[in-house]
Amino acid sequence: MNSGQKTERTGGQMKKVIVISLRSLSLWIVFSLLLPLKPCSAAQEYILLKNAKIYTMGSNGILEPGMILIKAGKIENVGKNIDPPPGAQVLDLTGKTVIPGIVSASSSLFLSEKDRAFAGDENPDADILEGMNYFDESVPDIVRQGVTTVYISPVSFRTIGGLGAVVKLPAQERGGVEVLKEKAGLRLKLESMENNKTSSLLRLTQYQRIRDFFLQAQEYRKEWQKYEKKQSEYQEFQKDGSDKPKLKEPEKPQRDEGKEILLQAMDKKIPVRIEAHRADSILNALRLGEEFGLRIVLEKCEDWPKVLPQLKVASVSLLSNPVLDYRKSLLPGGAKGYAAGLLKAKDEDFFYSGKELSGDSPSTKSTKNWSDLGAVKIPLALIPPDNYPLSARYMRYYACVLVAQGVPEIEALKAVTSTPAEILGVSGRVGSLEEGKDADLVVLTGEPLNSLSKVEIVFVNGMKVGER
Amino acid sequence: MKMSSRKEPILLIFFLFFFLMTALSWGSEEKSGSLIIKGAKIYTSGPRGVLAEASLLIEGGKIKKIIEGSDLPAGTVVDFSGKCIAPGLVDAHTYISGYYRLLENSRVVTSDLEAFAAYDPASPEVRTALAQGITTVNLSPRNENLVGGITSIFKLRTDSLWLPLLKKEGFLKVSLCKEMEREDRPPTSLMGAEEMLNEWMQKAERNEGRTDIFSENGIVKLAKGELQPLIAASNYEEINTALKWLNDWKKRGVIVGGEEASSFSDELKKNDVAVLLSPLLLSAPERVFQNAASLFRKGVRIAFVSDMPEGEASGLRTSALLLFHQGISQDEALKTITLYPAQILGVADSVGSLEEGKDADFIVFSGEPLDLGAKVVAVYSNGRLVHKQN
Repeated sequence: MNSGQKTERTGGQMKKVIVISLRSLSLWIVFSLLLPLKPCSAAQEYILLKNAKIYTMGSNGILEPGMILIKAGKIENVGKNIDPPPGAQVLDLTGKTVIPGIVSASSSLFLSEKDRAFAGDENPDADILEGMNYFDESVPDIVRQGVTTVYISPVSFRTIGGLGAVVKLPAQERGGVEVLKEKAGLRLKLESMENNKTSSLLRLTQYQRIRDFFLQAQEYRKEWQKYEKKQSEYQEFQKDGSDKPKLKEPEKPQRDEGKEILLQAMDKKIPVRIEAHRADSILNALRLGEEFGLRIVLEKCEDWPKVLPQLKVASVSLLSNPVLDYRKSLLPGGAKGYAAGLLKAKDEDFFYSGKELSGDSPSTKSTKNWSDLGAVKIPLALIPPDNYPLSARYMRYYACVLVAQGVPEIEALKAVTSTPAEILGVSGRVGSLEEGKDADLVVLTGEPLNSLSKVEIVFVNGMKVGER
Repeated sequence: MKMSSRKEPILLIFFLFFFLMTALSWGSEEKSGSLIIKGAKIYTSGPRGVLAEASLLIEGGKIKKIIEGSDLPAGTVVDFSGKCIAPGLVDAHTYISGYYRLLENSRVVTSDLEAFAAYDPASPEVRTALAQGITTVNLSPRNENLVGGITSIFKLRTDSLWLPLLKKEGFLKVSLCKEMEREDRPPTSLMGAEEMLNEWMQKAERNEGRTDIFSENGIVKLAKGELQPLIAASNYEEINTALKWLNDWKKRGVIVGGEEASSFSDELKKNDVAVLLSPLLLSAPERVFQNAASLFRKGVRIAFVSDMPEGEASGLRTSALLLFHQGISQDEALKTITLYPAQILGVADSVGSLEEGKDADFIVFSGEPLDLGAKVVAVYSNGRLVHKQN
């Protein structure tokens, strides 16, 4: 709700109130769905998990073995040894491992099938929370695999896609979602999957289009500033007396919610998530960021190794697809077109190096790339490789693939837990197992990044998934 | 004139050199002394199961002996202590390296075409597949023709001009799936396809041996029973038609695709029809994984295929992993991409498992074979290193 009030300050006064109340109404729907879950008895009493190997992903590092005390949906204590309070439910997890609930920094959840295919309009203020399909049937499958927090956003194939939010998935089937952060990102698209090979001109058009949007927003702000100045002069004049010639009341400019959102992005209040695949598009994104003072999160930026020095300077965050041999889907016509392109294209035509097609290069190149990335301390989070909602459930396997590529295990685990939580701005509540944070945790039968380990228990806000 | 006569000896030398190189690379295949792959956990996929600490003795590209314990004979030793070894993967249906060349668009029945003609060892896809441990493939014509041609089963290589064929003629590819139907030529429907296939079979039986009248030898071989059909069929109707057709003509065959095959598990088992399943995708609903597991549990012979380049080389291991998570042991899940495809293709006497006398095709993993986090350390084909982790 904070950001809602901030919009009020930047823009008009009267109409905004109505808009806010509409927005809060939509949030109320979300919370009212959640309400019947909150006073559940399980969340009220103590639960103590003991004898597990705990990857806290926070200040405590790895505890082997360690204990976690849960009360009322929060983590009360994490440590080597905790005395069980009277009446605590004690779970002996000998031989098991515990990791924080997995965070997926992107997903296509809560969108109906039409939303995923329909291009949608170009409006920055299209908020996912106002058009959610609450009864997404893939949610229980996703939670069961230990993914508890997801970023949701309208999928748009337009250049400006709308506002996303960070939500916590419900422990129970058909439970409501909890909104951890609204307006968590504004989606921009500097190039689409289909055109990134075909046309440089089209990409340039898209860049110009986005730039125009921001320039218009700047104009809009100036107009309002002018109005406010005149208005205060007018107010002054009204107070003064009446013997001077009459000053006309200034005309109020029209309010534009979309531009308000862009202004908030320019004030770094809303991070801008830019989809940019090729190195030149990434540079375009950085240029936009510099010109308008944006906080940039790059999405699906497979070409990042080529522009690492520039990324370092711009201090952006990266959201990367898992490193599968995926780039064929970037070519015109998808997989089939890829095969055609392969016969006609040379290797240089394949423009990004995050995922390699050839068998001999991925390990060398990408291992070096990953360690370079670690050295410049650019945060990297994994996101699902495609727009299918169910892809989000195997975040853990994507991290496994990263390990096979030569990334140290703990770094790969960070890329699906603490780092996405930080990038999404919800690390105060999720992403690591620390005192006072939400009791979202996953109990596994073995090492978290051995894909043979099975998810045994998932807790969301201290409640066991699938338990009534 | 002068120029050309001067060129001739150069050409001759070039050709001599060329033949010499070919002969040399061929020779090295056969002779190479004994190689010992030391100390690893070996998933044999064969009758010996999983061996905790064993070594492989390799001679002439074949496994001479699997040695348990530390008593090793003399020879070149490669130490893989602490690693896991699994058989080279067998991909029973792929369009690797020749996707566009595996379709002859001029006719709808092209039963004489041989898939290996479309193979290109220099394609980057071959390196990708080897890096994932795929050593044997069944290269198949595409699904767009009713009868696409004859599949070829061979070993993947990048370094040699010699194509190590296991079976030049594997199966006759028959397609009953959606891609086969087209508006501008018959068949335009599944019914039409079945009818057309029957007509071709009848013609082949009538005109057998008269190549002047009937030149579709693939279909003649199918009618005689010299070739088995590999029938692309994914959904319920297609599989139903395929099974009915096999029954009508009293033929043995294999189904590829098989997404809805679990509805026919009893019939598939009764008629001993094997199913080559499309790779399980991480984005697919749980039901798809359950169907695959139920086929397996009911005793239908199944194997996963990659469908490269439509699918990914990593699809084989991912599919086996997802089967494992349906409650099937890792050893058995691994067999769906090693031994079982080799058996279905009829090449299990040389590949598919690590047994004495079989080809030395294997993968060295840094961890368990179905752990996606395990690195592929090395891949050997016929006792030769074909991929190494950098």
